[in-house]
Parts: sequence; C-alpha cells; structure tokens
Amino acid sequence: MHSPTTFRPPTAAAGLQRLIPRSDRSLAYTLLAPAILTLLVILLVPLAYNLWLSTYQYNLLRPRQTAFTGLGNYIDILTNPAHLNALWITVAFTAFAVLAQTLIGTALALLLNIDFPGNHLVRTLVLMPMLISEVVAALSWRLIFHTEFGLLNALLGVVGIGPKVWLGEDLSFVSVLVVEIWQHTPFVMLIILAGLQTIPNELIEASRVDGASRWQRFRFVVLPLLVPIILLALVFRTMFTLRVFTPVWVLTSGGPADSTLVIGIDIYRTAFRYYDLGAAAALSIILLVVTLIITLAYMRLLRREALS
Amino acid sequence: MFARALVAAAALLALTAGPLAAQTLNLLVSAGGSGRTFESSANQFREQTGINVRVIQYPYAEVREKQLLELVGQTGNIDIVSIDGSIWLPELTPFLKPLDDVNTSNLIPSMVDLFRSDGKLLALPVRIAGWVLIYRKDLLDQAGLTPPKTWAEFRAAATTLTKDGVYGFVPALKQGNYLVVQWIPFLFGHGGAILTPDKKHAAFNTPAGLKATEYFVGLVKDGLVPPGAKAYEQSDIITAMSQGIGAMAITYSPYYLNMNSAKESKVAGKLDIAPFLPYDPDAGLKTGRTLISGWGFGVADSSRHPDEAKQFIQFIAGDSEQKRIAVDNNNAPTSAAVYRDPDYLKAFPAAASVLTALESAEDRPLIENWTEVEDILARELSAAISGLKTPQQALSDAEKAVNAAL
Repeated sequence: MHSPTTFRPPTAAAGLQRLIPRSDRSLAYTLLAPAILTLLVILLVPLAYNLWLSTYQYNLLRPRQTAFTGLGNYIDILTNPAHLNALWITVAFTAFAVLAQTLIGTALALLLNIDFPGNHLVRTLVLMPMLISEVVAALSWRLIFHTEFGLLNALLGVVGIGPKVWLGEDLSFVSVLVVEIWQHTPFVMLIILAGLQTIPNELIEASRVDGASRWQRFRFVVLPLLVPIILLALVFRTMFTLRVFTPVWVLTSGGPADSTLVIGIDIYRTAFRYYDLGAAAALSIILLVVTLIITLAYMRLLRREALS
Repeated sequence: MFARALVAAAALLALTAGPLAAQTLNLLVSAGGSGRTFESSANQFREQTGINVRVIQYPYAEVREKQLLELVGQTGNIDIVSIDGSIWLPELTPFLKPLDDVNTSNLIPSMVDLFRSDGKLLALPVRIAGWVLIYRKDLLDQAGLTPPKTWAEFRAAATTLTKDGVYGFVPALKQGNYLVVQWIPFLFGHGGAILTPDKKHAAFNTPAGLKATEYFVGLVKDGLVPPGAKAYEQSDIITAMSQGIGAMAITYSPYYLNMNSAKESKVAGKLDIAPFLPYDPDAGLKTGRTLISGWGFGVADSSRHPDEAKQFIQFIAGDSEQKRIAVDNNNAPTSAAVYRDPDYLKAFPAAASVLTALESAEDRPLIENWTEVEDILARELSAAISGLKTPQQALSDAEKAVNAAL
C-alpha cells in the first residue's frame, strides 16, 4: 500500500531550483553544456549528415533525383581499383612523410636544445616553412622544381649533374614528399623541443655523474621521457598528412598518370568536379575510419607508455 | 560617453547603409587576366550607368564550385553568371534566364553558338579565343621553312628546329585540363572526334584517334619537346616561348601577346601566328580544326536585379567595350568588328590569322559530365606520354572508362 500523494504543480521557485546546480558535479555539467552543444553542432551534425549522405546516390546537379543505396557507395569504392590505389598512395605518402618529419624533427630539436650563440635566430628561421601558406609554398616549389628554368636543376648543373624532370613520372612522388616534409618538420621539431625542455636537468646531471656516455644519456634518459611527446607529434602529423591536398594539387594535380593521386584529391574531384556528393561522402568516411584506426593504435601505444 | 555615442552612430550608419547604397550586382570570375579585364569593364559600366558590379575573383576551379553552390541554393547572391564555354554550360543551364531577345548580330556566330542549349541563347560571349599555332618566324626563316600546313610538315619543322637548346614544340602536358586541350587539336586535325554524335559513346579510339595520339606521344618520345613539358601548364608555355627555348606552340591565341611583349619576352617581335592549325590530308581535311573556348556571361535566374545584369552583359559584349578591353587588356574579342579595327590590328597584327583559324573552330562536346570525361582522358594520356601505356592501350582504357561514365 502506498501513501496517497497529492499532485502539486511545479512552482516557479521549484523550476528555478532545478536549474541551480545542487552539487559540484552538476555545476561542472552546466558549465560544460555550451561547449558540448557547440561541439554537437559543429562536429556531430556535419558528421551525421555526411554519414547519411554517404548512403545516398546524390548528385549536386540533380538534387531531386536522390536514391538510397545503403552501402552501395562504399562497395563501389572498395571494388574500384582507382580509389583503392588512391588509398594506398595516401598511406604510403603518410608513412614516408611522417617518419621523415619525426626523424628530422627530433634531430633538429636536439640540436636547438643546445645553447649556442644565435640559437634563437636559428629557431625562428627553422620555423619559417610552417608559417608560409601551403599554396604559396607549393607554388614556390613548383618554380624550384621547373626542369628548364628551376633553381634546383640550375644548382645541380653547377656541380655537373644533368637536369631532372622533378615532376615527371619517376620523381613526382618523391618531389611532393620533399615539399610536405620540408613544410611540416618544424611542427614536429617545435613539439619535441617543448618536450625536451620539460625533462628535469637533475636526471641528466645524475646520469652524467653515474658515468653515462652522451649516447647512453640520450638512449636511456632522454628518449624514454620523450616517447610520449614523439607519439603525440606522430598522431598529429599522421592525421594531417592522411588528408594532404594542397602541395599535391599545386605540384602535380595527382599526376602523372594518377601516380600522386592521394585520397584528398580523389574526394575533391568526386565532390567538386563530378558533383557526386554521395560517393565523396563515402570516401571521406573511409578516410575517417582509416585515420581513426591509426590514431587508436597510437593512443594504445601512448597509454602503454604512460603506464610503464 | 563620447566613445559609446560614436559606436552607436557607427552601428546606425552600418544598418542603414545597406538599403541606401546603390544597387550592386555580383559576379564571380576567374582570377588573373579575365579577372582584371572584367574588373575594368565593371569600372567603365559604373561610370556610365551608376550601377555597381562587384567582380569577385577566385581561382578557376573555385569559381565553378562556389558559383554553382550559390545557384543551386537559389541564394540570389549571384546576378551575373560566368560560364566557361561548353564546359560549364550544361551544368549551369537550369539556373540561367534565356537571352533570346538580345541582338547578337555584332558577335562572331560560332562564339554565340557556344552558349546555346536546346535552341535557347543563355549567355553572350565576352572573351573567347581559339588554339592557334604560334611560331618563331626568325627560326623558321633561318631554316628556310614556311609555317607547317600538315602534321608531316609540322613534325619535320619540329625536328629541324630542335637544336642548340631550342625545342621544336612546346606543349603543356601536366595531367589535367591542360593535357586534354593540348591533345584535342591533334585529334581534330587527324579527323578524329571525342564522342559519337549522340554523345553517348567515346569516339576517339578509332584509327584516326590512334594516329593522332601516336603522333602526339611521338613528339614527346623523340625529344622534340622540352623534357619538363610533362609538368607544364599553359603558363609554362608562355614562359618557355618567351625565354626562347621553344620554336612552335599550339595554344590559346591571347598568349601570343604575352610572348610577343617587349616587357615580358626575350623574343618579342619574332613571333607570328599561322592562319590554320596543321591537318592530316589523308583524313580528307583541307585545314586543321581548332578548339575555341572562353567566357560568356548569363543572367542568374535567382538574381534580384535581372534587368541590370542583362544591361551589363550587353554592355560588355558591345562593339565599343569589346574594342576597349581588347586593346587595353589583351582581351580576346568576340565582336567581329574588332578584328578589323586598325587600333586592334596595331596591337595584334596577327588578328586576321586568328579570325581565319577561328572559322574552322569546333568545341568540346556539350555534356554535363565533361569534367569526368576530361579527367579520364587526362589520366590515360598522361600514362601514354610517360610511357606507362602504349597509345593504343591508353585509348582503349580511356574508351572503356568514358563509356562507363556516360
């Protein structure tokens, strides 16, 4: 048997009370609400729309003739050698670029962590490529790579090496890679340099007292402490490089013979040259999944590092 | 207190300025030469009529994309629609107001026809040119050659002139639009076609198409073009010719003015234009067949100022403005009278040759998914030029892909 209750209409005061946070936790939620709402609007809504779009046959020129295809767009992409090739080229491009950026970036950071006269000037100079707009940088490199009038072939000519077709079928992949590495290594360097400065000097002093050589100090003291930072730089650079577009578009437009066709260009062509928004959405979801898989693998490594 | 009053006044001014300001027409155009030309016309138009035309410049690809998005969304933000010949017309047709009541008798008929769809006139041509053969007169004279009339003569001249750091022929072969439009005059000039007349199937994988493609690839393979041409865009043709490393180029006629300008070129005054592109006599042709393309302006269906937009288009396609921008801005005129105008002939002595070359003009097929066809052709031609595929293999693969796309 339950006691009879009388219904009481909510008063204005009660409504207000509900709004006022009663504990610390609800205060936190209240304060987080605007940020979460913003994220929902600018992140989840477009993502959901894209997901929805990827299950439709939707051409911008015929917006009224849309048709639900389910996984049709995905099956088309995953059975089309041209798209798979683009995916493969993107992964290979990212692997080479990120590896080189990390190695060079770490080396530069170690170098610039040493105090020497003019250190700050050198740091600023090394950061320059990162500060230049991608289009401007790529256009400048297009001039440098020019077979007949470019700086690179002119310099090689001085040391007796004949001209090379930098953006031809043999070298275009490497040339675009060089531009990508050149432009984004400073970012890796900056992160690692910041990481290096957080390593307590006492540890290094102690290892020195214990008789560790320069290499041993790096290998057993500095590097283990740097790993989480390097992984962080890797996550960022991998995510950004997987969607590379500008240098490839400016330098080769995906050519010669689609040999530098990265997925970013594939998506752009599909969406804005063919207006096939359904297929483009599916391609971008596939790119997102690939990025997520790689990022999650990094995160797992990062967590293991943190635990050890 | 004073600052607050100032802010309030500024806000009030900003709010009222909109409706009070003179009406403004919006037009998106491709940045660069076209952008500068149309900007100067907009200034001229404002001086004469008091109507503002805001000329917004973007790179070519972005103009296409942004303009179409505005038109599909019926935003009314675009009043004047810029159309790159037959490439953009099919996709823009549903968003244009017909201009059938406009008098076009001053304009070159083949150029006006570029902007007709199902018999309706949708835009006026304002900047159109064709692909012409530009050659170094001094080098040909020295070698005792006349401008080549047939493809056989063209190859012979290219072979003779390739020496001492000069290449016989300078093409743009970077994968993309450049490569395809470079190849088309070779295809047409061998009697080939891109699509069947019903536009439902590829028509380039024929004996004529193969002959043209093998000839085209042969020029590259045999070293008659600069090695870097595989990465050239149209602008690189201008550079190579201006720097004196090229003897002949088949390119957009207005580039002649850049190559021949004393300010920009090392070979100014040494260039000329052939009246026709080379042809293949075995294909039963009497002249080469060029490609025309360029810009036309139409009125957006969703425009809030259609009458003013139409007025601007008629202004810029009129004889006097066509002459002014041809002389001042190197614009490729669409009015026939300009080609006979003494002032224009002084700036562009080869204009008469251009006019004859344009008479045999033809354009790309009017299909909605031309860009897809173009990308397929670009990829396969790029493979043929790089030696990754034989011309036959490239054409067969392209045919399969194009038929699937159509």
